[in-house]
Amino acid sequence: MSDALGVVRRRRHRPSRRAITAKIVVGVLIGLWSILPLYWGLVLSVSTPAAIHRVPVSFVPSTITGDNYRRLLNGSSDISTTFLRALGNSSLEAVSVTALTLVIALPAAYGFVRIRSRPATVGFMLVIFTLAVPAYFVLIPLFQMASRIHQVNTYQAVIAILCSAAMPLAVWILRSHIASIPVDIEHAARLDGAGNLTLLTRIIAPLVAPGCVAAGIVTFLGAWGAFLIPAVFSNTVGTQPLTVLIPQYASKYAQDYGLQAAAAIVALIPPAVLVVLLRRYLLSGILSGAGR
Amino acid sequence: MRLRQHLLLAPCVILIAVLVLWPMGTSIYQSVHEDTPLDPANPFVGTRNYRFVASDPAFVQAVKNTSQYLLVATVASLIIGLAMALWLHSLRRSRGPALVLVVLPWAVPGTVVGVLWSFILNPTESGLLNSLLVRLHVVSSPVVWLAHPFTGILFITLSLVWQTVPIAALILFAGLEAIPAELAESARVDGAGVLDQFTHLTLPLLRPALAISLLNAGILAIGIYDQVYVLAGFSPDTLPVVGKIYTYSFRDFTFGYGIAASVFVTLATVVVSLFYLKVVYREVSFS
Repeated sequence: MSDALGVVRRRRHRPSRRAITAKIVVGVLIGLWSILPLYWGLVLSVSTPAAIHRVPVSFVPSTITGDNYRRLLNGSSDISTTFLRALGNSSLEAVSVTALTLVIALPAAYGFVRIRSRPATVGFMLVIFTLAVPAYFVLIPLFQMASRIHQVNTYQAVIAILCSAAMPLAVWILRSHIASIPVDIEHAARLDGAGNLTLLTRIIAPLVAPGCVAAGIVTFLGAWGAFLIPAVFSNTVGTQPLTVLIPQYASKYAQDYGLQAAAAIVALIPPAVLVVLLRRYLLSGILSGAGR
Repeated sequence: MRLRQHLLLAPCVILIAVLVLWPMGTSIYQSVHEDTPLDPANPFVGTRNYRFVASDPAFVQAVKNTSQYLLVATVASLIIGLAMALWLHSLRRSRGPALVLVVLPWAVPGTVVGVLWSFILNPTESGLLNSLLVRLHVVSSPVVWLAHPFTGILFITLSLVWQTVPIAALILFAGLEAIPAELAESARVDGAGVLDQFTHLTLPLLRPALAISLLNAGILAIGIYDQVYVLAGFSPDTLPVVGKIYTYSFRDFTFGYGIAASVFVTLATVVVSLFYLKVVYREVSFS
């Protein structure tokens, strides 16, 4: 029996040439599919207007210029001050949403695991139920609420709403991590006189750090990429994030593909870097709640 | 002590109650009331908002468009996601870089996806697709892809799938990894070919993962908006239902219609979810 399995295993390690070819072909196709839109945006972002409008276009840039990026980032033109402001807004909103979501979700997730009571169970079901509520279903009442208390076009409105949208998934991810911590550790800490706060910050948080990273990265990507909510709640130069500003370029700087492309590349660098660096944690984050 | 413990839950539950549950209730209440900023009295109007929306040709058109987005996105996510998952599963080494390659588009914000794809679909010879096809003599002059309803919907869906297929791929990949290797080996020993193995062993065992990935792709497709907004604006040929909710509410300021439309779309989401779960989902155990 073990001999037979051994033979099978050895065969597995030496796949046929056809299988290897198929694997490479599929790999190249997947690579092209994933990279081509990014590559082409990158090419346009470093091209001069003349090169972009030359026919036929060349798929590899002949000259490379930093002009498009300079126009966005030099800080002295109108284009640039608006762009930098939106970049700042995106960062402020996404970072605040991530921090706030984690600070609220961690104690809640801990409570939902450890407290056995009717209200806690009901609360948990209500929070998780909202995973299934699409943003557009609550958009209009939220907008009316916000305008009644004069909170439209403020940071706090966008941050609070994005936070409520990210909350159920964050609680869900953190809960499964906390549930795997042995209760004995907490009993020992409690005997030493630790209160809720000490327990959470000194014992639970470090133990579920991977869960916090997973929940944090999913929340950050969602907040950074959000469009519908900021388009409604922060539509002025003062508070608009990049996702709201960049689509305006298509009409404002219609033929200026270089500028549009450079703006797109700047907007995708922070989330892309995060995904590449933290891919290990991302997997568990995506798999536990999929996309929302 | 017990009360103090419950304080841990308070911020989370209050936030959800105020910003999600309360507005949901308001939504349903307002859908049966007159509701425009112009008339603060809000009289009861019964099902009028629903009847108007259901018979509005623009909304019906948007429902048709979204059904097409849903159909194309489901099929494309299934094919591309399955190919990606099988590829990742077949790799013995360098899975890390392969994973990054698969997941990277998911990090790109929806409107930025729209901008990147607008360069590919550009209606002049500066467009990547047009310049390729002209050079290969497939077309004689550049095509305005987004002006035709069919190619418009097709390419906008592809841009959505480009961004969202990594999730489907990862769910299917996790499903493949969970299938015990001994099963595949015993099938091979019994003389099953690669194709037999795939259709009779892998696919049935992958059903739960397939259901969840399809469900996810379906919900994302029904909610499509960002890419459409960037690539085609409010053009009725491609406007999805979420775009119609937006125009009802924030362009025409007829909030009652917007709310009624969003109730319809949310119900549709529930129906589609139940369909996938009922038809495709079947618990599989490996004991």
